[in-house]
Amino acid sequence: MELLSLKNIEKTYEQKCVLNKVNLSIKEGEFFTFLGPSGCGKTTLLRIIAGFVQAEKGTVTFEGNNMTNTPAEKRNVGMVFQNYALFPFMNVFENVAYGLKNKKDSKQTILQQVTKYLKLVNLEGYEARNVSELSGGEQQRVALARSLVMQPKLLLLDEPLSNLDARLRDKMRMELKEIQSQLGITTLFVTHDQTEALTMSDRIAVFDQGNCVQVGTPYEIYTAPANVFVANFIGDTNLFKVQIENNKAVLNSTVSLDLCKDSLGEYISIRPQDITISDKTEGSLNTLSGIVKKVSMSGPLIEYIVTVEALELKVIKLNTIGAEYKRGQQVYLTLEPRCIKILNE
Amino acid sequence: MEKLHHKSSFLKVAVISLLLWSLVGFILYPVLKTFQVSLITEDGLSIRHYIHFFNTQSYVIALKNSIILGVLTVVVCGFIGTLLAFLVHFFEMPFRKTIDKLLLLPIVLPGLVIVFAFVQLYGESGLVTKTIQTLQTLLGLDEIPFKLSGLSGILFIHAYTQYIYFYVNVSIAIRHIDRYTIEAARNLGATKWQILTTIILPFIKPAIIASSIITFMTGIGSFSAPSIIGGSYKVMTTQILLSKANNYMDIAATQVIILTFVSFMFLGVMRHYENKCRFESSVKGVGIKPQKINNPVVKMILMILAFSLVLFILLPIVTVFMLSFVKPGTWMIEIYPKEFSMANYIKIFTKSRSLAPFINSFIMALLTAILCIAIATPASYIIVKTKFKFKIMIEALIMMPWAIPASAIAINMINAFNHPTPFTGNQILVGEYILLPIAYFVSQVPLMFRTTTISFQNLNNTFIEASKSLRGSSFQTIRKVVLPIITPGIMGGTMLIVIRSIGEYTISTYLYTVQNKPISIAMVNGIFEYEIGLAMAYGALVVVFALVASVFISKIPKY
Repeated sequence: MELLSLKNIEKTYEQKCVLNKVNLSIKEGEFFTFLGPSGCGKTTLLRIIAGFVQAEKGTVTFEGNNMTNTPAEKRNVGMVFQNYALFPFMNVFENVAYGLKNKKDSKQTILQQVTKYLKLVNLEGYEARNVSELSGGEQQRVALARSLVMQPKLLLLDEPLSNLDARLRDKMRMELKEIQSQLGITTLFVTHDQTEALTMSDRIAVFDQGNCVQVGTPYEIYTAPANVFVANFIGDTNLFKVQIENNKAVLNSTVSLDLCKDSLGEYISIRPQDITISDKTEGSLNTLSGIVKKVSMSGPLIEYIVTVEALELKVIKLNTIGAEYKRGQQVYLTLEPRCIKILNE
Repeated sequence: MEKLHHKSSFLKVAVISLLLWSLVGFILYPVLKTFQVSLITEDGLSIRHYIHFFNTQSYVIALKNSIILGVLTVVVCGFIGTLLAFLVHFFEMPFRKTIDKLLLLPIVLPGLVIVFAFVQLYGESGLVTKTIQTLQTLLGLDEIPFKLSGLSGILFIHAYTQYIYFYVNVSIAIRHIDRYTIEAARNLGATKWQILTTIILPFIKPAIIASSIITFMTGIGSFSAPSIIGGSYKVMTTQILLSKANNYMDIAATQVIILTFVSFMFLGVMRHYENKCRFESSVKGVGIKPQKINNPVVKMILMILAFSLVLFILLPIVTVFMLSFVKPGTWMIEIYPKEFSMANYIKIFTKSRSLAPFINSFIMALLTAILCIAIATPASYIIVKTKFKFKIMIEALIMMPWAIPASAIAINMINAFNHPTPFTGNQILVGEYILLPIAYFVSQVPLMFRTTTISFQNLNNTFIEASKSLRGSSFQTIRKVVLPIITPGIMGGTMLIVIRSIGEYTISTYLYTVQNKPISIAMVNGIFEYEIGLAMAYGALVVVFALVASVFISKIPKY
């Protein structure tokens, strides 16, 4: 069932278009991510949904009700801010209790609810602590509990993991996802980190310069990017400008590749792990000869940069025994036609 | 290596001893001496003077008046300063930046100059008063709706000179409100009123309390306004001068101790509240954006308010300058002066008798600054950078004068140094040139200490370690790393102290001699001899000097 629908949302700041006719529909219980580089409009859209920013055009519909002009304090959406925005002059308990007090809940209800949600985020016994004494991860959990205690229909998360160090970020990613599925709460997550988006989301909307360029499951976005921007932004890829004629992509005067089908486009994209690398040639289709220019190993994977004529290709291979090629070695790359995606700008 | 260690520890002991000796000698000893004087009676030590004080109605009224004046000054300045801070920093006020700079102006203007400017504008025969009088029938007024005297007159002047503490502190606090906490509150269902009371107020509360402390102390210690326009509204500071003038030093001492006690009591109580509402923000927030005002009527009202403010702030300064050009002996019965000339300035700069006060004030202000640097810099270094066991004692001693009203400092000086002391090399200082700059120093050293302390706090130890790791000797490290970092702060502090000392009036009244008559006294004499133009020319020179110096302060780079 649809919970939130955005229709033709437009927003400009100082004559610069920040959001351009954005249409989205978010289903109940979904973990939905807005993904894009900084300045793409994703945070502005989140703030429009929260009610902190007014869209110039378009409507925001929540549970079937038009909520475009509803003030922020009257929308039943929770939000966790990038810097958590904890109230520095209140302790952990008072922070979490703040919204319930605004609702004029009874003292007993407040105590009960705050305790319940602090337990949910693993912060039992932290009630009297000052928020400035907490670590980044703990502060984030307080911010999460503060939003969840209001039992919102929709939870908005504005880059909540960006202030944490790498290891803690991985841990919090799991915890966040765990809490989300435990409560079944519809969640809108804003991030510029593609790994975060791919691992956590049910669906992703990719933003580029105020436009929502693709909506899909992580698998769809990764394997079938809608355009050059998406292919480039999500995961590593080898991207070349080409001319397509007679089922062939012509990269330059000496290199051309066979394609599966003759579709229109100006670019081709091949993921590094889709290229086979070998020191022998079997003379199969689309095999190119090249020299290894760079080798870098990141534990389970080895990444090669191989020069082929004037081109450079990135190849990723599992680091299994006997898989290593040396710098300067001649190798053969095979690019299977079904792995070559034809794209437009 | 060990030798070197010995050498440096000897130096340390020497510096600390010298510092403690000066602080005890010139700050603590004078207070204790006054306390002793207040207890000495014909039948030995007793509290008879205190009993006498509380049994004398006029004294008790003066004490009550002082406290009322202090509290009302806090209320009036708190209201004006906080309101202005919100208008300029929370809302999108037209011409915000210019108005912000103008609103900071009164801090560099000596209180005495402002009092006289107000008298010339709003006094019985002031320019504004006369203007209203000529329009009286036109405006349909039976009488002038204000009178620049008594409690309301003093408060009017205090409002102008002292809102600045609230304005500055609250402005800073507003700029440090984390915008996202306001949004978080809205997200959690808070109404506008709830946001104001539960988020914005707690953010600015520490600033309000800190400003209340300094405003209260300035209020009860205020002397220029009560002595010049107070009239029948007697306060402690004017009573102390009266006792001293009548040579009742024991009574003056008692009054000083009681006034100082009130000041410390207030400080203690407010500090307690300050500690209770202090908070630490561990995550850097994003500052608030000034709120847009869309209502055209409100916008118009703000516009008018802004212009009235600018006018109100600039008027006294413009008046001082304008009147400084009035040709001597021409402005007697007319409402507005008509003849202008450079005569007053020519007189100041050509007659050595008229130039002397200007030079005196300048030299004494410089002496004050040098003394302040000499004491505050090592003290700050010890507080910030060493683990000296009794450093809290140094801090307490050096900050003590902050809570002592200027009149009290003057009386303490007289009581301490009207006889030989070991601190002065067995010399009597009363009647000497140097006593006035020493007293200025005592009253200003807390301010310098705060400035230098901030400088040393900014001096991160890693800079020194980096310099040493790059083979810098101690001397090179001090010259090339330490000094460049702490000098801007010290320079700024020095300028501020020179500005504040050059127009000082309260302490000067008690301690000046024929050899060091300062500019403030010359101004007052000018007024009483009806040489208003001359007095204003002195005032204008001080204002120009203060403005130039404050431009310098704003140009000092900060690290």
